[in-house]
Amino acid sequence: MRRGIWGVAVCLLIPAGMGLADDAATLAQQCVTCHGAEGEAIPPLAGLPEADVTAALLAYRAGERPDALMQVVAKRLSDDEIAALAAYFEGLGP
Amino acid sequence: MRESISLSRRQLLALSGAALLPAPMVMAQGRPRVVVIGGGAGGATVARYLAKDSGGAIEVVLVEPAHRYDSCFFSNIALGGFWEFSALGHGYDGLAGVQLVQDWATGVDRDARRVALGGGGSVSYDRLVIAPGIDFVEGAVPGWDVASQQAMPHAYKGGSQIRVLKAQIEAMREGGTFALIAPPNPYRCPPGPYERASMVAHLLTQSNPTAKILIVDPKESFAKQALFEEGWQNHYPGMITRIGPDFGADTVEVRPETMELVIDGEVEAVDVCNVIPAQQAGMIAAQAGLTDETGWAPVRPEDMRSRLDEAVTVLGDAAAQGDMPKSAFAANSQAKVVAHALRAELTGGTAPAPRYLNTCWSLIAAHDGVRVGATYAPAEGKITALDSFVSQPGESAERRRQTWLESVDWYRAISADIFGSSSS
Repeated sequence: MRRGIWGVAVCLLIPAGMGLADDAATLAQQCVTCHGAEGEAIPPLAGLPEADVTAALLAYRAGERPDALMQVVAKRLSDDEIAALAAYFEGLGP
Repeated sequence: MRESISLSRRQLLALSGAALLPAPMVMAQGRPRVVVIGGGAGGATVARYLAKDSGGAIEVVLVEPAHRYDSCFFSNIALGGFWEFSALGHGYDGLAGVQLVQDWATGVDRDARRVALGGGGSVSYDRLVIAPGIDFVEGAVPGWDVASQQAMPHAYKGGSQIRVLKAQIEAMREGGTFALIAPPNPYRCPPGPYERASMVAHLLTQSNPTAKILIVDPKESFAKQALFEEGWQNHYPGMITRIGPDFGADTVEVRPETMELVIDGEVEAVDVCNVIPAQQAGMIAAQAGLTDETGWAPVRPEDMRSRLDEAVTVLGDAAAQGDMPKSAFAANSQAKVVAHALRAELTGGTAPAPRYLNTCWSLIAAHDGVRVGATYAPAEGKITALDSFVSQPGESAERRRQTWLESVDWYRAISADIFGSSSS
């Protein structure tokens, strides 16, 4: 029982911090399942301005921007991870 | 036989220590080799990411008999006439750095770490990934077996079966009955049978509006039930009837020769019958001795590694992992975690904390899309749901249209992510 509780605690803590290998490219692998090279309803992310991606993810995480899917995804991202993702996607631009 | 093998393995581990065992084997062969069985959403993603991200440090071999993958996901959309069947096909040319062995994996010798091939050869591995999808449980629907699949198609593994089913619906007599035998839990794509009924209703409303759809369901309830039932009422009033276990749907028998169902002793003549039987892990997982009494392969939630063999990973539909549904999205999400874990183990480094994500989109009628999904992480010995979301009854037509367009964008993006065509 005690072990179970610790298991949950550890899992909740780990995603909030950046592990050694937890770089932006690795994190971004989760995004590209839906965000492709083109898209009518799901925007491509490559080349988007860093400030826009940061603002969008922060707003999703705070529940201030509507979209239930993106809200639950953003809820699992730390400030550092949001910053790293935003910089990464801007860097993929032309 | 299997017991003596696992016993000797355990003894070996006790002597040398689990962490030390892989290293000498890896060094003896030069580059470590990962063999992946199955080129679907799970297997092809693992193969592609391992090859791409290891920069050649890992030799990646994909064993897949087909030259082309016809996705089961979105096949209902083609059945409904919204897409061409050809849009579901994907080649393996985009899997840069992956050695493709176009053959069946017919067996796994886990002691020798070797996969036997249908063509007669074999391929050895340092780490094995098994992603075989599902197979049907024999005898699950009395009267039905794979030999009956032309008369009563399952259409639940992609490919030609879905075309057979569509042709039968188009040839159905006026006012005829389309029956769908739904599977018990757990099975691939939980909303799939109900999206299927929706797409059949969409076809029949145009071509055969007095026809009826009968869903025979062994389950009390099903995925997105409120959304489907609302949609059926709005778009196809009076066309779809569903009977549950209270009415004997859990003991239905079929007679493919005469196109009859026997429900609770009553014989019912039908015109088209889509039988989706109970499911289990793809056959090769059971042959390798990696499944338990449930028919699925138990895995660790941190990295999808088999609980029965530390050198083997099982992912996607075949794995018993916890809360994630059996879907292409889930398999693709698990595959990335697996690629991180294997790369860290075989080439050094630390794998990031595993995160899993899933969304299942379904189409109820033209432009009426719905979705359900969640984030997941390992907790208490299984993959556990963290936060979830689901479409709501009574949403605006515009919201539903957006959800449908989203699903189309997802299909294109995940296809490129799995097979490597055009995108990164």
